[in-house]
Amino acid sequence: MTIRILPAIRHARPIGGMIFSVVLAAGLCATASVRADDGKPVRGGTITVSQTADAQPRNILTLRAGNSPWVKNVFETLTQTDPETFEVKPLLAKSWKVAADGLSMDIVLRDDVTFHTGRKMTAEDIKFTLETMALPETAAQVGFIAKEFQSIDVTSATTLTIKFKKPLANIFDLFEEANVIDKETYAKREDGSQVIGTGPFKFAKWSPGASIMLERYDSYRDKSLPYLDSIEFAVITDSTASVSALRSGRSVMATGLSQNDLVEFTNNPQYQFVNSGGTIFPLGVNVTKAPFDKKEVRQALGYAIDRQRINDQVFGGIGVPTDLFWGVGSPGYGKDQALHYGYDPKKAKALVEKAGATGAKVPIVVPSIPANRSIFEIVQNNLKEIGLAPEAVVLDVADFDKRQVAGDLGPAFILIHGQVGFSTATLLSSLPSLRQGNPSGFWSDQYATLRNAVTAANSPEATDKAVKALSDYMLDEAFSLSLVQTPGQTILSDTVKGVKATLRSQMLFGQAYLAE
Amino acid sequence: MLTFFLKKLPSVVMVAIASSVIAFVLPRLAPGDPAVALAGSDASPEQLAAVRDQLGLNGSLYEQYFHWIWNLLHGDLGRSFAMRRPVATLISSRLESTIELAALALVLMIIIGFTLGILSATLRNQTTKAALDVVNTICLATPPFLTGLLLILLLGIAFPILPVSGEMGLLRDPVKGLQYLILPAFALALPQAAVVARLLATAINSVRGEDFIDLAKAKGVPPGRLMRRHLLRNSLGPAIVAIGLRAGELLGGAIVIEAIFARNGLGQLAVSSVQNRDYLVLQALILGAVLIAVLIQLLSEITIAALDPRIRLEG
Amino acid sequence: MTVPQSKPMHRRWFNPSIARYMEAFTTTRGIAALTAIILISALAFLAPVVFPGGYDVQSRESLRAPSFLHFFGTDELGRDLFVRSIYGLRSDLALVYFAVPVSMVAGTLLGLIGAVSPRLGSFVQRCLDIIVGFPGLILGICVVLVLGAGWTALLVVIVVSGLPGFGRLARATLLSQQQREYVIAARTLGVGKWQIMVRHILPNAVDPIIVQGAVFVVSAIFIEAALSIVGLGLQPPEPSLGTLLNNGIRYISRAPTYVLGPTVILIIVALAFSMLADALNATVNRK
Repeated sequence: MTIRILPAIRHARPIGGMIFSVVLAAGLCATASVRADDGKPVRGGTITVSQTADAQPRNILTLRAGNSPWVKNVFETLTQTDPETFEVKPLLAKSWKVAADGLSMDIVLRDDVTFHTGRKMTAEDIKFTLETMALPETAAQVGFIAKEFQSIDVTSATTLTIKFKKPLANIFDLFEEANVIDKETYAKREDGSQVIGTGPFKFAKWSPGASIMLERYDSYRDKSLPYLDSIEFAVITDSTASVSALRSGRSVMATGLSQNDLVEFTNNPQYQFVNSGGTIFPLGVNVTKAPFDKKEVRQALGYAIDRQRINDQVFGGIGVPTDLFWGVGSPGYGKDQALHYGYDPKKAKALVEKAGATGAKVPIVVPSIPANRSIFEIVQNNLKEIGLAPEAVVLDVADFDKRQVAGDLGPAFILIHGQVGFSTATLLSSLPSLRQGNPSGFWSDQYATLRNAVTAANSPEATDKAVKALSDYMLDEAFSLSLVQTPGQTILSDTVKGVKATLRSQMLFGQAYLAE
Repeated sequence: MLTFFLKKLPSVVMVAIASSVIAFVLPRLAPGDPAVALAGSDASPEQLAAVRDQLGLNGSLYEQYFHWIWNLLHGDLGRSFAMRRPVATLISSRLESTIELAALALVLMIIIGFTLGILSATLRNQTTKAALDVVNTICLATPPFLTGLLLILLLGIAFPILPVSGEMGLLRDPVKGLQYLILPAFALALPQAAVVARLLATAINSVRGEDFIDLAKAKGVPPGRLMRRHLLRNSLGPAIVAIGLRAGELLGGAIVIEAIFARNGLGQLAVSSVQNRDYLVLQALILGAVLIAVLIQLLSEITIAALDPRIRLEG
Repeated sequence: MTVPQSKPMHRRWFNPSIARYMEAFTTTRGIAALTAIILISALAFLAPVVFPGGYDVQSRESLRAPSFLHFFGTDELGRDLFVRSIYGLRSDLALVYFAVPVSMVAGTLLGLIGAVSPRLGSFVQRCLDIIVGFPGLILGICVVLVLGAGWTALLVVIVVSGLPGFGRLARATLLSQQQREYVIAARTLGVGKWQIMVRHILPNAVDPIIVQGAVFVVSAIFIEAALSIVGLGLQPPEPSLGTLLNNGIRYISRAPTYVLGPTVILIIVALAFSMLADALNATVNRK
């Protein structure tokens, strides 16, 4: 029953109140339309979906676990990528054209789009949206792409031209996340009183920590859609409680569950899984701090860690143990590179001895998240085997996040990035582990050159070559070691049909209906 | 009684001021701040700084404290950083869950406590009495969350009869709501009930030795009436005080119980506001809890005095 | 706060008391409690001898059911849960045996401080009121966040949580003894405040404090467990009964013994110490 196209990864932090971002890569990870639609769609009805994190109406333009289940039903974007074919399809944009020099783009909009306030959407709203994406207080993961814009010129109510400072290969990563917002009400979104978009559902009510209510937008441009009258998103922070809500029929769909709680549904024909989105768990080290200033020691870590056991015991085997950060199967994802560091404690021990680092104390910073704690337990066990002396520094999430933002995490750290996926070019700047100012304190001219080659690559072949070259360099430097990429799983009862998901695991209920 | 209150007033005010300072400072001493929760872990330092600025977290601590106290005195608890809603609204939206839990636990505590207490004070059979004593000791020694875990194992996993996590408002659906409520309330009530039972039994036994009981017995008052009219009435004092003090503990114990049974009450609100560094919510909760505790303390002192004229209220 | 004269005094009143407390262990309850505590402590502190492999022997045998090889089964990383529970018990007892006496001494001194300065005394009481009023775990959580999770933070939290209990008891003794003739007499004879506090009032506070100490051991263990359940206990891989419960809850339907084992151990420990408190209480009250 499990639909698993690519192990795209989304993340589930099982403890409530923790907020993190989920960013996925264009063209890499996939979600699927859930099950072939059998029967004819029926109008009417209400469903309840459970999610583990609370909504954050303030952060409409940022990928957040608590927004992913509902946000794409209230808001729409210029383009939407087909999760199966990775083809970029028009949504609010009717068509677009990139200039031959790659330095500008003309966009033509649909003329039948209205906001939930009844106002017609115009090119000015698109301009406002893209400009807001670039503001630092928006804190959008892909905001940096919008900063590369020279200008946005509105040429008519339905046309605009964007000029770039340099060719932008990852422009659709930005479009995919830029939920078109209403200029007039955007300031009132924070407390959930006016969350206005153009999507098939209206944002009706937010009870913080408890639920979000969406209602059918009757004036949607496609008169037959949506089929459902309303959707309730119940915030159930505890994974076990989500499962019991699902089992009792109180909810028809659960997002953000932990692997342990999903086991019992795996062979039940009444439920199916959608693997979408996902998380990367890397072990990073600071190359300016002993003993990790020596490359041998960093490489030793690569060989020392039993990634397969992490995947089996912490994630029940659903993830992919890999040395790479890029989406599995994406252009430039080298299969042999992914296995560059096989589990080889003898070799690791020899490397540590050679570097004279045997017995070195290694404090490892770990956020207080169950998965990270479990990974740490295996990692510290592995590191003891090769003669290092690891010790835990468990930080609560707010503390940890703050230090991650500042790039100040000490000699070693086990991170969590809900970002599998954006195109490699985007990941290089959006992943805290890899971006400039990373907590590894790693930067070199060669790294900068190789990164630029990836961002500049404008054909699949060029991308493949550039990414592989960069991977080789990163694997050799070993400043941050990806351990495993795991998919987030959404579980769905067969009483509801037609649910779709975006490339980045946001749920789409526009065409969902209740089975008779 | 009024003089009693007046005498206590300065110390209550002092406690309130001191706890407002602690409630303000302690969460701020912890590393991290509310802007991180909003900006997310992927934010760049520049983005985080912009969000901080927007939240008004850059003012000095003095300013923030006096601003908070000023608003507080005007009945404004401020707005949550994380949820952008007034703190008062947030707290009242979670109140139902916790009050339902604490109220049912209180009822269970009184019923179980009185039953066990009266039984162990009246039973003549030494074996049953010893057995009851053992039961009581076990209840007393087992804290709510262990009882909770055992109940989950027993009634949720081994014999799945009752839902073990989640909740439903009693107002929304009384039957289902009660099903969700009964296990956590029971877990919460049991150890407290054992305390009540023990105190009641001790009090009954000591009252039994008093002359008026012998007199009543000599007058031929039947045992049931003797228990109700004479023994129980005169033993209620300590039990009621215990219930009063325990009611405060019920609220405290609710935090862990809410975590284990996945209930969305004030305890969880407190935990999540610590995690998000949602200072204003946390400050309101801490200050409220301290004041309630002080109030309960005062009320129980008054109750003892009202029940037993031998005790005079002293400042 | 050291008192030079206190040493000889100390010896004089304390020795007979020890004999007095020994009477507690002549009752069935007392004997049972003492035996249980000795056995539990021996098992816990001899863990490195009994299980020389340590608590972190990982294997691929995840979440196995209980067997003769693994009494409680194995955890998600294939470690023996019985071994981890015993080592966990060791952490808890070490924590408690260190923190509870500290809290007892500190709390008693804070409670008696009123003998030296009445104003300071009532100020301290108000501070203790605030600690009591703090909602449930929140004080503990804040302290752990400030100090960083680990042994030190747990010790501080336990010591602080115990202060109000001991402080109030000591204060009650102080208030009841202060008006007694012998204290007034001593005062008029010009005996120093500190000396009155140590020689006359302290001995009277010892009985209830010792009983409260036994009661507080149980609370202390649960403070550790509760903090671990919200994820702020000892640092991995070091086990404590609380961290075992915290991890076990995630596997409660697949491996019930993961939670059951530590729970049962916790209940046994709690029972042993409450019975000890009962036995001591009965002996003390007989006087």
